[in-house]
Amino acid sequence: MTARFVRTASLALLVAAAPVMLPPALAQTLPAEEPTTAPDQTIEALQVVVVEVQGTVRVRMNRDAEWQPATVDMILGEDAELRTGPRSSVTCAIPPDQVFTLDRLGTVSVLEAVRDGKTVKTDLALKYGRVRLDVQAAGVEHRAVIRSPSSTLAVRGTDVVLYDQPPYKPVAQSYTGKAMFGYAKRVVPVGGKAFAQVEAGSSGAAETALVSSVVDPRSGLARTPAEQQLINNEISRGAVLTFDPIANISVIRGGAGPLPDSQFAMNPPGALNFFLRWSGNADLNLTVTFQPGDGESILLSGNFQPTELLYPGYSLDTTASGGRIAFDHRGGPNGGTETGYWPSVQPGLYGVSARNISGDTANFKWNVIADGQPVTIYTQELTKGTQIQRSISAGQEIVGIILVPPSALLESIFPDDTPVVGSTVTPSSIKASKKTASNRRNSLSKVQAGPTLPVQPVGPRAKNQR
Amino acid sequence: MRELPLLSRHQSIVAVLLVGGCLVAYGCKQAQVEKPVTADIAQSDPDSQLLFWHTLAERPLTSNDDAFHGMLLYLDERDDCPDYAARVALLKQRGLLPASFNQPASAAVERGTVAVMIVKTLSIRGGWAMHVFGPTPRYALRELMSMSILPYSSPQQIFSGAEFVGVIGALEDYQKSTGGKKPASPTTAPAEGVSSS
Repeated sequence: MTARFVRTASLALLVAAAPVMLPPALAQTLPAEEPTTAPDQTIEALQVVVVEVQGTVRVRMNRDAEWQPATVDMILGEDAELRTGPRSSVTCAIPPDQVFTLDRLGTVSVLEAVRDGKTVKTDLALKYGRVRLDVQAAGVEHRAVIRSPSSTLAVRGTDVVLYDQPPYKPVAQSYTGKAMFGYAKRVVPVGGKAFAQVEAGSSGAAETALVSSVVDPRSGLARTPAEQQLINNEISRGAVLTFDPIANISVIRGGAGPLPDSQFAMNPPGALNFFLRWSGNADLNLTVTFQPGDGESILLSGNFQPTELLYPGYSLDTTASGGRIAFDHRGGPNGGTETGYWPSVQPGLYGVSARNISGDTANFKWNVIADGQPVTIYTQELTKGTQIQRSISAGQEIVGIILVPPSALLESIFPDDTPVVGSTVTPSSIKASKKTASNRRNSLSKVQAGPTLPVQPVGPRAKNQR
Repeated sequence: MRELPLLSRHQSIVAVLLVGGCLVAYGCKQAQVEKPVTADIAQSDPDSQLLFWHTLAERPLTSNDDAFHGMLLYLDERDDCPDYAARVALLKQRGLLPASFNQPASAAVERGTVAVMIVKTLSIRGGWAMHVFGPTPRYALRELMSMSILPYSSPQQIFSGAEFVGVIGALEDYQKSTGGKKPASPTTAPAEGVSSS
């Protein structure tokens, strides 16, 4: 067995999942140099297949080989090393059911990728940077470990990210499943049924979340009564209020879900209100654009040039004409609600969008209330309704337009909308980031290309932000 | 165990003055990088850029020249400046370095200097202190610390190579999370005659 990249002694606690016999995948049977298994078992070296390359990525087959550009479908083996530049990433698949992604400015080596009888063993060495590993647990025993100079992440059939880059503390994230995070002779579990993040040195995900939480630095006096009412309404029903210092907006998570049709508009925060209510474990974002003037003329001219944009965060949660979004609801098991509103009804053409930022497929409802009366929404399917219901999957965006005041002409032209809803329960799985890449690998039926790493930055966290 | 003899009051005063005098005489001398990475790798082709980043990541210190070359590679994806003086002139021209900056190429880059460059790159307005005093190293660093782009640091603190690469990664993460577009106009070498200090 060739030399391995391990600087520190670290614990890698491994738990075997239920083993199930699977047919061999793309693999070559190699003679074991050190026979450690029973005579009837074979150690098969697994191939590592490059499935996606973004930016500048170089690979070498071993430490003595020359660096060469990484290309899709390139096949690597043990001792292969990959490194990326800025704004770059590379995704590799290890058949039958593992995918890892190396993010920008990182270096990772494949120490081990073998099938030892009924067990698939994967050992990655992250020199620095960030790597995400997804292991489909069903059906076969996995022993997957990501090592870095100061930490170890043992994966139990899950979707995890390990970030280890000076001068920041190592951070482990688990999107699904449970992993064991070893740091400085200490091992803490990460993850379970929901997303969890553990920073090295903390006692677990709860402490990491507590240290990372901040008090809304804005004065309570800066909230309008309407905003406070909206927030109080969510908190009173079990939601948790935090503050995102990067997005610079209050964040609501969890809660009892959206109010029913009979209640949501009982106390609207403004005179003109845009409601986005959704069910399903997803984070949806409401966006409202606005161009003042005669909405019908603007629409018929085909020259919609919004002058204002309302978005939950990044200083876009208020507009010059008084539009506001009080918080960014980031969902929960029961869904959520986001409301954009204006203190007065401003005539013009409004664009509204619902975007599924992350999570499962969700069913959502749009409603617009002006001076207590429902306003017609026109959909991209060229239908109309005072309540639009749709199903939206992760990454998808659905748009509509609203005219204030309403247009009798358009109301007479557009047919009534039919609600389109679907099941909100979908298994969390990695989807192919590129259709062409996934089509080429039809033979790897159990492998799915990994997505790009999460948009939210991982890693650096200031201490003692309260 | 043998006990050390206590100093007399006079001896104690002399000892303190000697130590203080040494500190004053030699000062907190700025760390120097014997051979910056840019001495060997300063080209802009993709292979050279990748080699620069990963060679820098293994160095114990980041020099001014390395840091400025790295910033230009990140901002513009190339660096056509022929030498350190040209990089300094270009960064001053773009407002990323103060006009009074005159440190040598081999000196280790300070975190405050990098913080100012990042703050100006991201167009961060900051809190009241930055509004009043401008993006000084101290307040630029504090602002980035509060935004979790830089860890707890002091403006005079320096970077190892891996730390500087990590900061560039954090900068990219921040820009990605805010939907930031690639900033800056393409790099051009300064016109002849432009002062570098």
